[in-house]
Amino acid sequence: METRTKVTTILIILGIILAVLPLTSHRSFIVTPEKVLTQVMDSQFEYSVDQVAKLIINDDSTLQLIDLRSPEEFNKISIPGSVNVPYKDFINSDLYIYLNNSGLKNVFYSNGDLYSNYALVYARGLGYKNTFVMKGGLSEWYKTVLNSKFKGERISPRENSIFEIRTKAARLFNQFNSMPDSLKASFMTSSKFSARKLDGGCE
Amino acid sequence: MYRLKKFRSIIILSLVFFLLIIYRSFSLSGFRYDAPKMAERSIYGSNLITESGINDLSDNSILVVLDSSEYSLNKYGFQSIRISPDSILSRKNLKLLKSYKGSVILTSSDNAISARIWMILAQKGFRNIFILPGKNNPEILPDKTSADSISEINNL
Repeated sequence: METRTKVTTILIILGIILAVLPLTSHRSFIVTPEKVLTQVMDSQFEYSVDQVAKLIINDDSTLQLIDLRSPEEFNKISIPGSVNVPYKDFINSDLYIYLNNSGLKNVFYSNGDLYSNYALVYARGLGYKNTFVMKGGLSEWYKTVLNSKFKGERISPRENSIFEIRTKAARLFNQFNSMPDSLKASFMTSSKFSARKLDGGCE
Repeated sequence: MYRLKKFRSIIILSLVFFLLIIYRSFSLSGFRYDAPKMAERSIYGSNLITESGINDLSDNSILVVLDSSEYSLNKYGFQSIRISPDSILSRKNLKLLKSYKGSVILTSSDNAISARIWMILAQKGFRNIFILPGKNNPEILPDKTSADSISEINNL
């Protein structure tokens, strides 16, 4: 009886404390501020548009591009293979839905650098380590990949390699975005199939 | 007094729990706010400010330049300071930023830096933080046929 009374009293007191005091919301950042700052200020969490272009044309299955723009902007123009998660939905959702696969590199992009970097800090603060940004966003993609021109008399092997990657990525981008929405999904599947056939490789 | 002694162990245990909860709730060392709520202002761009908007700010505002860009610290009528992003969370700098009851404007030649620091400070509870973006509107896609958007591979 004595023990039961004691336990009951403890539980009642705890209940009163929990009911009265403001506890930290489970949706607060779980990583310390200093750690978040150290992580996001490290440039290894940035992918250049050339790096993303290379991953796309190599059909890297570990890449998940997340387009943070509105559905209207996404349907108009987007990078092939990306998924649309409007920034508003990203902030208000449980990120586990989008970021739970630790085997994927989740690369955020928007038109510029603001939304993608907000999302990077937000995701990192909530403990999702497999998150990155595409530096410069679609603006940089247009400038560097789509509108790339070679100027000069000679081209080094490295420059040639970069130029080839950009050209292939630009071609894929333009083909993809010129198609109606209904055909885009099947285009991605068929372009993977065609690339393998052209390479002459065996499965 | 005898009754209090009888419940001594309960009182001590409850006090320990109480102090732990107080510390956890009010600790300033980590984040403690609802993350989506603190990020809300960034959704519709209400955390952005333009050059013309800055002129309407109160004198009790501060401009924080986050890099070593050639930014005139005396451009506006209120105080400006240069703070390295790596030291933004130091006790001294946080105390300085909290002391300003007006607006705290973050700016950098790289909008990515401003965005990251904004989000971190917002999650720390700062509600008066704004970003002054770089020269171009950061989230408007430029015309892809624009001549000045051409990138040249030249002596990489």
